Amino acid sequence: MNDHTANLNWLQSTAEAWAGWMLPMSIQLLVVVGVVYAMDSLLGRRAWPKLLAALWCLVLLKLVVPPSLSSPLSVAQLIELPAMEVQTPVATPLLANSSNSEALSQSHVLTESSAALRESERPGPQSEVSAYVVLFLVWLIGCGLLAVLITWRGFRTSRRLRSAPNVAPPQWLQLRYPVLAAQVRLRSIPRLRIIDAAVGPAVFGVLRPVIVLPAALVKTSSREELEHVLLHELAHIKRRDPVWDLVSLVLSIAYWFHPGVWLARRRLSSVRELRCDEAVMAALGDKAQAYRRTLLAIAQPLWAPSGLSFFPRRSQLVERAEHLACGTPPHAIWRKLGTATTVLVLAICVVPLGVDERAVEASSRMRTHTTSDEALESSASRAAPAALAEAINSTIAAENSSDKDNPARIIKTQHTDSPLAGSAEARPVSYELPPLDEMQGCMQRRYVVMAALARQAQASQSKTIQPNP
Amino acid sequence: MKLSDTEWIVMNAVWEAGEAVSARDVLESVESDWAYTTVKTLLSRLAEKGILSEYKRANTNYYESLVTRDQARADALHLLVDKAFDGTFGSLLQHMVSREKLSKRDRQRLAEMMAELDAKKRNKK
Repeated sequence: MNDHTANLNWLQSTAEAWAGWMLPMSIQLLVVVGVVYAMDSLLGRRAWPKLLAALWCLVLLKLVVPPSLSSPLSVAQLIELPAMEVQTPVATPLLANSSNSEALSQSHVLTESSAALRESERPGPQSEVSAYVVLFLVWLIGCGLLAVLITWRGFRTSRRLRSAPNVAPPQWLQLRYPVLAAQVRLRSIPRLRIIDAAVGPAVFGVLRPVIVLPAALVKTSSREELEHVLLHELAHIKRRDPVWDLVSLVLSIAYWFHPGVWLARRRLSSVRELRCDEAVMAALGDKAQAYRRTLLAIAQPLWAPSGLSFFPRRSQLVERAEHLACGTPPHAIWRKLGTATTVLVLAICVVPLGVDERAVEASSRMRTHTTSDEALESSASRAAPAALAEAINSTIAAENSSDKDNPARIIKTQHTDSPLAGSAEARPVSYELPPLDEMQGCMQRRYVVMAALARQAQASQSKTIQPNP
Repeated sequence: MKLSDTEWIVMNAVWEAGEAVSARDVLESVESDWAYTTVKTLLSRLAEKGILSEYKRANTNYYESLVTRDQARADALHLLVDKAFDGTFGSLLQHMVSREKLSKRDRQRLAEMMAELDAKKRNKK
């Protein structure tokens, strides 16, 4: 039973931690993806591929950066994003010993979290935690299913490629291939396989990528076209695109529920092709425009009739052809500077969308206090009122022991001259607390909660309450 | 229009030449140990299929292509990208081109670009 409880507690705390990341991240991702998408659309053909790639990589960066990361220059300082805070169980009073009958100051008492009250009936916060557990489990199942599906498809593809019959490359290609690899500045020459199968020209594999060409393409293409195709695939390997694709795939699985992530992945995939096209153009020099024709000619048999798309988007092929029409970009240094500056600005202003914790706590304190006050007052009304004193004593002892010079120390005075004086346990006490504005952060919060409890206790006890000096 | 592998080799040589070719021209450009008569037979067969036009000049038969490489390739490649390798959902293949749904406007735009490039190529020759 203890193990079961421990497991449940672990699950609950894990779910809360997960929600503490995912909920704010989901909102923040919408902002980041929205900004990047808007810039991509506005720039249109004026945007060079390197800039587009850098912009969309910022979305990947956002996925791994904690949502609490803040920046004084962040746009989050200007707009108020929904907090999406995980509501953990609030401070509850200790209800251990009901024999203590000390009177409480009306508005100056403190309390702290209580294990005893957790065992009693609890309002809202408990049902919210359960929802987090459900969401967490749904997310986990989604990740698992997607990972299994993608892995299965990967194995199936790998098996089909391995079992496809090899076709010997023409002699001219065997001689020309190393030259092409050198043209894109590859140090090692990747393996080339020509197979008799229905597959497009592609790079397959992450750690040791292989270029796969269908025999039909080799058969039907001119030498110039084949060289262009190989240059493109070699450029993918040079740029380590299979590795980046794997990284974005893993992140997409982790955020499978978020459409912005899938949009970013799709767009990154398109932009990768643009960058490879750019690399081929650079390798071909003054023969670069012939590559554009090769691209259109190879792609032509693959134009499917128009249909509904979940994400309506411009044709990738049209975009690539139009980028190629612009030719090799001049003024490369200015483009590098422009890319670096744009990315830096967005990385500082758009990626860190967390808000300063102290500011959040200060601004949401009253909301939280209202919720916790109601919850705790409701709980306190069901608990033994006299045991509140025990909770107060424990809290005071804990606060006082932490820093003896703390101006917010609470001084407890036990009154011996009260008409109620009798046994030591029955003598009323008062609590001298510092002014509210000297108490900060969580102490201030507990102060408000305790004040509410004290009102409740006063109403139920009908003891003399010592006024605050 | 379906071409066998050997017919593709011959047609590639015709397209690479860019002008009317004889059997001797084709034999010299292909990387194979075919006999002259084999090449001549293949060219005649292609002419019968309507893919090449044949005419005689100075006692030699010349052959010219009646279809473009793109037209011939379309039939051969229309099944090129198997849906299993489609990169839209998790595939780790880096395709050079993939099957794509195009709007009418995009198809027109691409056709215009092709025509523009073909015209430039002809002007250069």
